[in-house]
Amino acid sequence: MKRFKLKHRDAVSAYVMLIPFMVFFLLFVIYPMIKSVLDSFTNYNLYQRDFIGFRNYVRLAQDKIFLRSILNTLVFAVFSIVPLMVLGLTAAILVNRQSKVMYACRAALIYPYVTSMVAVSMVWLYMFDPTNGMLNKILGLFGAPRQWFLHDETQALWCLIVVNIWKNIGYVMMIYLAALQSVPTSLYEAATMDGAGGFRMTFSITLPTIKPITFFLLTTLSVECFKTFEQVRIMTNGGPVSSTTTITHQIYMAAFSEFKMGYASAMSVVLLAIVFVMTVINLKLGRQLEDL
Amino acid sequence: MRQKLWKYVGNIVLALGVIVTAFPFIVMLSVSLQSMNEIYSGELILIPRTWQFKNYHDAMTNGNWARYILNSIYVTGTATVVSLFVNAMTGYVFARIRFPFRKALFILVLVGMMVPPQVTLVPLFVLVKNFPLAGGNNILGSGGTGFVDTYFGLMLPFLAGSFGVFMCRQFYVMFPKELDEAAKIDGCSRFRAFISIFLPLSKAVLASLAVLKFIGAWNEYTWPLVMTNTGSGRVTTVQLALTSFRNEGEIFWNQLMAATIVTTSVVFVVFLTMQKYFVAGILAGSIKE
Amino acid sequence: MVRNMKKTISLILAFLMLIALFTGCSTEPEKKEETKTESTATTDTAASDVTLKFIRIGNDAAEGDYWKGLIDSFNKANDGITVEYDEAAIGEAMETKLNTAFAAGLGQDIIGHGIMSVAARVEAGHYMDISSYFNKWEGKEDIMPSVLANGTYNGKTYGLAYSTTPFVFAYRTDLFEKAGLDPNTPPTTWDELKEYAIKLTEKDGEKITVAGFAFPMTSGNFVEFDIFAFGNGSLYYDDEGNPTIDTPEKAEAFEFLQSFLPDVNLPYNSNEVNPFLNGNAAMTLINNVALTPMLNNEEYKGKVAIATPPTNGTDADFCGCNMLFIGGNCKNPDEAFSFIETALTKKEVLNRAKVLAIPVTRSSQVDAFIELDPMNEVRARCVEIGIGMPRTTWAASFQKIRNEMVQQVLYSKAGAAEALASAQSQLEAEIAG
Repeated sequence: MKRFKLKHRDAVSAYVMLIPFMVFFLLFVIYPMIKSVLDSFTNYNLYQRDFIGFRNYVRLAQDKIFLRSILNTLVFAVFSIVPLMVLGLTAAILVNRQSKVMYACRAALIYPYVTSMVAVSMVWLYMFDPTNGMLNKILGLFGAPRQWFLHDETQALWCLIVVNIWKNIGYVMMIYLAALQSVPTSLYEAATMDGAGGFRMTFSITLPTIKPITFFLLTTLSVECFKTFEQVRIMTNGGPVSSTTTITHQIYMAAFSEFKMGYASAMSVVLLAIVFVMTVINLKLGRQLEDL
Repeated sequence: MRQKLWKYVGNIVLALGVIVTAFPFIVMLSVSLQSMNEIYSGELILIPRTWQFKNYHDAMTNGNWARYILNSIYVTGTATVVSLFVNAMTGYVFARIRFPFRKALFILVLVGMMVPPQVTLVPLFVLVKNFPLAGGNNILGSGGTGFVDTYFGLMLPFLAGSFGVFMCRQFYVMFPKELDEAAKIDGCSRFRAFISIFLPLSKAVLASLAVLKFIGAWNEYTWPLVMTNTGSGRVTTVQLALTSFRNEGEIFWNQLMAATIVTTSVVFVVFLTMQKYFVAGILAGSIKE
Repeated sequence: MVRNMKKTISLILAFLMLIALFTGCSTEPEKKEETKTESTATTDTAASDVTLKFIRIGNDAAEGDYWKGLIDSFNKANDGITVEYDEAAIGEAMETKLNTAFAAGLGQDIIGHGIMSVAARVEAGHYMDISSYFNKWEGKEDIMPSVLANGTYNGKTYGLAYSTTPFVFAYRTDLFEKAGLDPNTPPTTWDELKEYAIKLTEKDGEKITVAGFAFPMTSGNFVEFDIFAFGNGSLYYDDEGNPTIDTPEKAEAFEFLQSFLPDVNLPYNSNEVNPFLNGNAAMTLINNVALTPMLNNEEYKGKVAIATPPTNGTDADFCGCNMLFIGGNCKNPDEAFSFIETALTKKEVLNRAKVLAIPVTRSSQVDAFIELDPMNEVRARCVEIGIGMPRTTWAASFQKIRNEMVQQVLYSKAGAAEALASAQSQLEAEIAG
């Protein structure tokens, strides 16, 4: 009886404490989202908004460029996330020391993440430039032939991935750094007494303890990678021959240039579905739902 | 011996990483001090031939930059502080309390992050404009301009976003079980437990969340764009102003880079101040062994 | 227990009030500002004011200052009318601002925007038919026909041009001399262009160091290709408004480009600097505005010349255009049009040519325009033979499909005939819905 009461009280305080966030969240995030999901069943553009059933989705399935964009986005996401996680964690472990030098290193590593994409893209356009670019000059020193980078349809997407990794390492590092601070030192002390080395400690204590953070990073990074478009828009416009267009770049074009809001909404539902499935798989594999 | 070797390898890797990430910054700094002719030469010049410090002056006098920066600091700062507390509390609830529909609500929180803003922009804007009893609106939400052109309107998406909730929840899941039990023994309510036990231990989490939120809000472009409906520049933020360094055919890269460096330095100061909260072992003393 | 609960609730309420406080805070400085602007605007009259919201595409400081100055003098000269200025960057920014504002019933009264916006926004009710105003306008006969066409849709007038941005054919006279070509006779035909381009290309082994003719490989709007299509007599659409992508003339244009571009070109995209501006190309097609910095650069003084694009029989060029429209929801169209009139007087047209180097839009001002700068003769000619983007609801889809098509051919992913046919059928499917 008492147990039930306690649980009951818990539930009430939980709901009360959720109110401030949920009011804003439901109104300003979920409501517009539901609207746009409904729009995906219409031909909504600047001057009409009629219900057309699943026609947008049928057309999406035949839209070659959109299908290409799904493939591009998957490649972009997978080949960004894996290196990002590894490099970010390594960086976090390396700078997890208290000293002025380490502070400076952290600052340097996070700088690309802080800077706006427009400025960053300009710098990289300089680096990739086929005629005078830095990278071609370095390659030239080794006698390698000139590379076209962003103008080569087989290289352009990889160039964008490199920029993406470079830009976001700071983000992964910072989150992991905060996570490392939250690992109780008592755990390390016990392990040191058992004679465990730094490497073993990382794998047997740190990584398992910060698993919720790894899940968090995987989820947010996949969301971010799937939403990438600014970099695409600034550096390649989706070209050459659609080799770098991403789902969100397609959404952006449909929404802001062709004004096909209904079609854009259908694309975003597809995107939502893909990210959602990825996240659920993630949840299951990481057993993150068990504590829920 | 092996320990030492690894340490050396680690330091070398770190040094390389820092050089690679810092290099483009040096390019930016250099471009911000060059003349446009030098930029058009197409060569990557690291040391400008003539140092054009006036680029900074020109950039900052192109519009009312003091106002833009203050606007951005006000909007970003307020949104960050307010949302930080709410996010932490909500994250705590999801991580630490069992209640009906917890799973479903949490998944909804995750879904909230996944929608591309391009498609929700118009419905969100219409909602904000037609918000009842705001900005001259009547109870049905018509007649006035709602939250359009207000600072509160600018902050809205950052107050409602679920990223911070998710992040706080994942950190609170990691906190030791003993904390809840200690609270229970003391007869604390859930809210009290959050305020007096969990919140003080969340420094590292909240510091990094604050930095991330600040960066996100600071670099936001589209929402401030549509929220500033009159051209008085009253609620113009830095990212809007940054787009003004171009015309139909040309981008004034030197001034753009100068302005970028100035605006990023604000965010950077925030990052540096938050550094001191990244302290190892903050949870160490929390558990009675 | 109950007390604790109460405490929780009251704390949360306090927090919500805090948020309300922020809302309050935010409205306060705003009101102050508004009264300030009002007091400056209505110093001489207390009469009921007409306020017109004006937004123009582009947010560069130079043009912004010009408009603010014009608006100031207009507001001073017209008691009871206040024009409020706003601006948005080209592209997403402008479209987003208009779309959200009109969706929420806050549509602007006067809108300065480009050709591509015409059909979609007329259909959406964002632009007002100003034919009746136009018919009474003093400049009716004076505005250049090619420019006037840009603002018409289904036989009605919606927008009147205030600026044009033609593409020009630019070339380096010093490199012409170096290659033994006469710098006073730029290529006028395709054959000459190809011949010159090959002669002008400089190589270091296999690497091209100076492009004979610089042509983009990807683009947000591939008008460089359209110029070749126009030059061969193939336009965007036929007299009935049906798209004409798949024509033999366009196939011929592709074949011509493919026959020499790989040997003379350094690729670039619309976000990168045209290699011509870096001194790495001898000839190119370029937006008139984009060429300005090079013309002002001491290093290239007297080494750059411009001409109309080389053609294969039809004199034509691409020319962008920005126009003033009256918003569909505007409650005071009379006042709005009087502002448009003010912006389009002969004096202001020439003033913009002087201050912003924008080609004039009125025939009577061409001579005065040419006097300002010897190069203006070519610019005026480019405007005269200029064709703008299609004024159809499918213009944006066309843009996307055409960009993809041109890249497919340039990257040899598809033959010209195949790419054209596929683009045509895609666009037709798009139009059919």
